[in-house]
Amino acid sequence: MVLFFLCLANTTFAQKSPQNNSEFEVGGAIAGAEALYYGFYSRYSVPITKTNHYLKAGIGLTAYFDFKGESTNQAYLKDDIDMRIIPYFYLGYNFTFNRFDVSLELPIGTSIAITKGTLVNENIGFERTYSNAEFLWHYGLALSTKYSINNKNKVGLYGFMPLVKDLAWTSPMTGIGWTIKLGDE
Amino acid sequence: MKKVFYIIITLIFLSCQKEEFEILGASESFTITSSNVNVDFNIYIYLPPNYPQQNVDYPLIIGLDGDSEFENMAGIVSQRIAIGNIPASIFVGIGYVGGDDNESNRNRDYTPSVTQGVEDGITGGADNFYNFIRAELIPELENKYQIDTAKTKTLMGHSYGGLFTLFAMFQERDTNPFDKFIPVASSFWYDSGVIFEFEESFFQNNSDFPVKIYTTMGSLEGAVMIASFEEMNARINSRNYSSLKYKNEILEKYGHSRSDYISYQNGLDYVFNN
Repeated sequence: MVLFFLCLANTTFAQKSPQNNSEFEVGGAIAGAEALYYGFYSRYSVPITKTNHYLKAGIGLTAYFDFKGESTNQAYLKDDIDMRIIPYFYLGYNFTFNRFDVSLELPIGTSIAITKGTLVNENIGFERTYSNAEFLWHYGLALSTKYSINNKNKVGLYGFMPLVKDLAWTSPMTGIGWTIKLGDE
Repeated sequence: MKKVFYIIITLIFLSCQKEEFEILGASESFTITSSNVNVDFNIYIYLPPNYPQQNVDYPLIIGLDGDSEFENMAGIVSQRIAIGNIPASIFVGIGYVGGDDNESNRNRDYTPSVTQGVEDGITGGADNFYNFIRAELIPELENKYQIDTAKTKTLMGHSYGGLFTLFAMFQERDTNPFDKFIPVASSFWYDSGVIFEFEESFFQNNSDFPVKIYTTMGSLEGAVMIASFEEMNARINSRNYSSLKYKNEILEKYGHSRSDYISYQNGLDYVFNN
């Protein structure tokens, strides 16, 4: 559905004299409310209006990991994963000011929570394995700011604030990323 | 743009909706100085509708983190009374005078052992805090209010509060004022699972466990918490205590912070009806 929408938007609203470009962005991220996660994000967007400030649509994929959890020296996890994989779709409005872009976005998607590992508690003397995977909502508000360093490349900051009722579903996130303009100038 | 604006407003409205519970009854508070802990506590009281009625001794429910959670916990107790799931009860939330320093107070009072690596102050004061509740607070409450003096009181807490509730659960039965416990999202990770030592010690000294327990953990907690929770459930069930009523649940799609209210509701229903 998302791919269909993007293709439709791209052809329906494509600009005859492209003023705005599709973009691909990738970056590193820190997220968390109840735990601290580290990871990366990637996004692809297409403009859907041809004004200086313009609407855009896109898809994104974020993944982040908790590497420590609540382990201690005597009670720790082995073979463990605690992560969120978040595929999503978003609509945004991009403001362009010379070399700067500021984009307000509404992402919506799913957050796949994966938790597994074996707890080794040397203090008490037990081992116990646990695993769980759940599909949760991901939506909220996002803000992206970018600076054009040349005609093809931008660097910028990305921030996401979830509006879901449990911040363990999807967490506040901030990232720093690199954007490549796609297509003709 | 108008549609986008409406979508944003709708999302913000939906996300800001918080569970709120209307309190039917009266609330008041008083201060008590503890010789066991050497601090002043703010004690928040919820009295049910039509309190006091002649010849009625009310059950006592005690909740931790009273400074931040009294309103919501009292609302939950009030709601469960109103729909007839629990009898008319007095609810007490334990807070601190000068609640600004709540974090270091709860770190001291809710933790059962002294350990390093806990931010914000001293740890390991659970024994003193338990003795304050047992020997100072409850006698004062029984003196002030129409409370059932039997050792059938209820204790509930979340996170470190859940850890303390477990600690109180494993104290000597003869002098324990509680026989109903609702530990929620308990901090099993604390001091490498030291709470298991209290469970083991209790088992070594008791052949039965005549209490009612409802305990939960959110499925979105980390594996240390959930695996420890499952280990504790397995250990308690393996003891074969004949009088124990024990229910444990992993709450799907719940993280640490949001698991308290649903657990208190379900927990009160369980411990008062089994």
